[in-house]
Amino acid sequence: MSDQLAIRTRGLTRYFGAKPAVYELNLEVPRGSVFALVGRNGSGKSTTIRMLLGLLQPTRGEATILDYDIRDLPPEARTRIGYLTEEHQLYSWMSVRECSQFQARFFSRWNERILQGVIDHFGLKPAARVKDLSRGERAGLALALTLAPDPELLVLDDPALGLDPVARRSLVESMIYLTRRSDRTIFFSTHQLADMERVADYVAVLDQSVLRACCPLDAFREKVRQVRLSFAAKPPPLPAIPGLLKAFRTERDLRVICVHYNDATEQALRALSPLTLELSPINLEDALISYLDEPGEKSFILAETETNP
Amino acid sequence: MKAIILKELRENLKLALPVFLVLTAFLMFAAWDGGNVLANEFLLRITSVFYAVFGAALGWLQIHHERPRDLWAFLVHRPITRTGIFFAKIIAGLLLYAVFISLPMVGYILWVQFPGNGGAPFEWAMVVPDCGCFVLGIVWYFAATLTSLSPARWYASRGLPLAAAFPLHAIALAFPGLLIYWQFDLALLIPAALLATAVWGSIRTDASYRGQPVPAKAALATVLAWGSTVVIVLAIVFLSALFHQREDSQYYAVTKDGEVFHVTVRNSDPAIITDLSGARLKDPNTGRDMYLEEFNKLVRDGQSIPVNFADPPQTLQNLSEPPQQYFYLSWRYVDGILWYWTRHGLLVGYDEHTRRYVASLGPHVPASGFPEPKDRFLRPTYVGNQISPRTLATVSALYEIDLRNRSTKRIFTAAENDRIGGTKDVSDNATVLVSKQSIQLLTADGKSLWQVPHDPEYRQPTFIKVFLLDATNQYALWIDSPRLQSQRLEGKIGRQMVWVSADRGVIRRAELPAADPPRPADALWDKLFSFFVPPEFPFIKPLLFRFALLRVPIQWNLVRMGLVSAALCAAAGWLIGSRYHFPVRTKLAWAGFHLLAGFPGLLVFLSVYEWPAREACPNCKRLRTVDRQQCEHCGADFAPPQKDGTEIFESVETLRA
Repeated sequence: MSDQLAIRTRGLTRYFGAKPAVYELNLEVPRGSVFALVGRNGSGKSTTIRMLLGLLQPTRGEATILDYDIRDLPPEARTRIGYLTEEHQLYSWMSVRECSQFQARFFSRWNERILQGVIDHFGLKPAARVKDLSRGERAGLALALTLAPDPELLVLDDPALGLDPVARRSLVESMIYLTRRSDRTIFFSTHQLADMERVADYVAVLDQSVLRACCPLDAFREKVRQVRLSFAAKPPPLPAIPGLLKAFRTERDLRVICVHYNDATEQALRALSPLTLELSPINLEDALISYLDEPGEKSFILAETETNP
Repeated sequence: MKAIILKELRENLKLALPVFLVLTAFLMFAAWDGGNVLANEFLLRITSVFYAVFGAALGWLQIHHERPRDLWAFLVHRPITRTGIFFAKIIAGLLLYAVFISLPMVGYILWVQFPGNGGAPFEWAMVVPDCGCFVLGIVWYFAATLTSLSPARWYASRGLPLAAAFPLHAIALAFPGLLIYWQFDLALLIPAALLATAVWGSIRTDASYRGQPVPAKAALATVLAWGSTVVIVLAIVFLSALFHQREDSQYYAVTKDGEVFHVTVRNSDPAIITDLSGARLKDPNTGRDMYLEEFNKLVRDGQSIPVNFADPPQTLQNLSEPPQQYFYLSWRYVDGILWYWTRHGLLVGYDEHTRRYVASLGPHVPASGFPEPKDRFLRPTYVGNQISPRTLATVSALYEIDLRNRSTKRIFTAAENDRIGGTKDVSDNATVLVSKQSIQLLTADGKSLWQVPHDPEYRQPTFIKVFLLDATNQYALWIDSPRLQSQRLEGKIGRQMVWVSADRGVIRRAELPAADPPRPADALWDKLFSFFVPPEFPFIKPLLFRFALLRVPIQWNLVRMGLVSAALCAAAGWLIGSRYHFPVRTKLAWAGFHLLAGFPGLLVFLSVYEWPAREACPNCKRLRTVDRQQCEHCGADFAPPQKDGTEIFESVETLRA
């Protein structure tokens, strides 16, 4: 089984002081998948990636990456893992060419064609200094340096962070067209849900240090449902509904987003005696935001004092 | 590794180049201004600080450049071991340090050793003190690297490696004479190696103590304990200076008519001046106690004669002297020629303008090579010369030196079983000569005006002061020994005064009690000191005082205090270790360390660990550490995250099914 997994964690936990940054993380990333790790700021995405790459020691728990124990990653493991850091930091005094030469000296399986492909895609001049590159260009260079060793596993820590939409699109296109290979695993964290939807097969959701979802993207779409209920008057209070993520209340409507929608859920909603009950599609971004937002009910009805001055 | 070395060289070249230029400019100025200034104290002070600053800046920047978290990750996430990264960094750093420091210095040395450049004696051994400074720079390099790597935790423990390097530099500057010994310079490599080992461990684990190899852990703990000790010592010294202002300073002074008075200066109060019977000195004009300003007009300054009977004769009186004086001393300037006494017992002349060697002068200068030890001029008294020196002595004779005719004339010969230990020209026609058997005043033609028996066994090394009194042909001798400091501590006698006359010989003698006895407040600070520094301190203290030729006995009450402190720290460490469920072997290792390092060891123990949080076990309700897989009390696993029914999990097996 383990040889079918690129990453496997068991009870992986990291505390900073008395606060857990990642708590009891059990994750399995299949080989050849494009696996997205999403979550809000501070949810533990970067901490997870840093632990997986042996850059941060876990407080407890265990994990393997390409079957190597993360507590002692040998140099050959790093040959097989490409890592794109969050800030795309490189040596600012180096030129694009020097960066490439520096990186190439470490890898025997250096693919100049991939490097050139990404560099050309971003329109980088070989003599340009890193410090003079825009954020998007620097991200492109960092991606090129990560891809050129032709790694089996690509770990990208929020690769589109801080990029403008054009640069972000370029980066995603590079990821789609240049990185996709049947035997290559891509594990990336992101805030950009739309980009993630275009690329990923699997999604894992970290919320306040805890893993709350881990499944194929299609399964996620399937499990999260949106129900619209309309009422003749003000909607009644919502009873306890299993799997409720979010409810939005307006003058005569109630919109409910929940997971694992089933007959029991429907019965609980019908007990409110709505005029209509309609299952409507929900896009992935909305579904994830519902997941990551504070749970509970939100009202769009203005307060009495404001409506009747 | 080669790629990282090249990267490091390129990255840090911008620091090394200005250093190279500044050092070159400084040495060129030194060469233009002073010729041969090798082993000169000023040069060593400047270069040692320069090397230290360069070494520290280089070490700091090599890590600091990659301090941003992601850049460090970019560096370490490549197929090379952390040990490889460590070696790549230090090879590049030390190469830059060595090349950019050595090139100007080697150039200067080569320039100096060619005739007509230095204008002063040169020998290759003069390079040794600078080599010591070079090694000191390496110590600073590793200390700064470790500081740059260390995480910032409480009580600024990050700066401790730099604090650890500081006393080595302070010792080298306070006792520059040490630098002439290659053994000392080589020994400086030991702390450098210790720091390097700690750096290696820290690079391996991103500065986390856990996970480091045992030698690296030991090196890091030792360095930090030593750094803590330095900080504590400085803090106590500062506090003692702040809160324990010494009430007074006390000393003896000799007046022009040969009377000895005891002077006590107490803060801003008028000085208390008493004679040896304790009676206050009155001002004859006012009848009141005499003011210090008035008294100072009556005081006669003495002329010091360091005396040493070491065989072969010592070339350096003590280690606080500049290393240059070990090799040569500037003796006289006559007719455009600078005459130097060299450690080989010769006078060597250099032309002031051409800076070329002119001649050598000695009692029996062989055609080539150096004179026999018995024919070597003893080191002349250097400090406090009030007149131009006229004579030089060997161990058996005193010679009058005629530099114009470049000749020597023997004017006094010691007895067969006697040995000369020091001389000084106290006037244009009188020389005080101190031998094992006597202290005597010789005229210009070698006739003895007076003679006092001398017992050097009693107080060696002797330090003699001669006071020329107002009364004709009357002198006072102050016979002292640095070792009397130790006797003072033991409550024994202090220094001896002898009054002599050319006509009547010894007029009288007096033993002077200690001018400045130790006070209870000093003992309090000593105890405080012993409690907060490692328990070895009372044993090391006498060794440190030895550098200054003072013999201080081991104070057993301080030893007891240090041991009590160490035992308390060991117990505290054991309790804390138990609280966090350290294995017994780890607790024993730390207990041993605390017994050796005392309170600083406890500070190290507290600072190196990233102490895990403790939270209540849901099973047994007792506090347990979060870094263990199971509760240490009941063995229960950690509770899985609470579920609220919104979780979506599909295992890989399910997916494949």
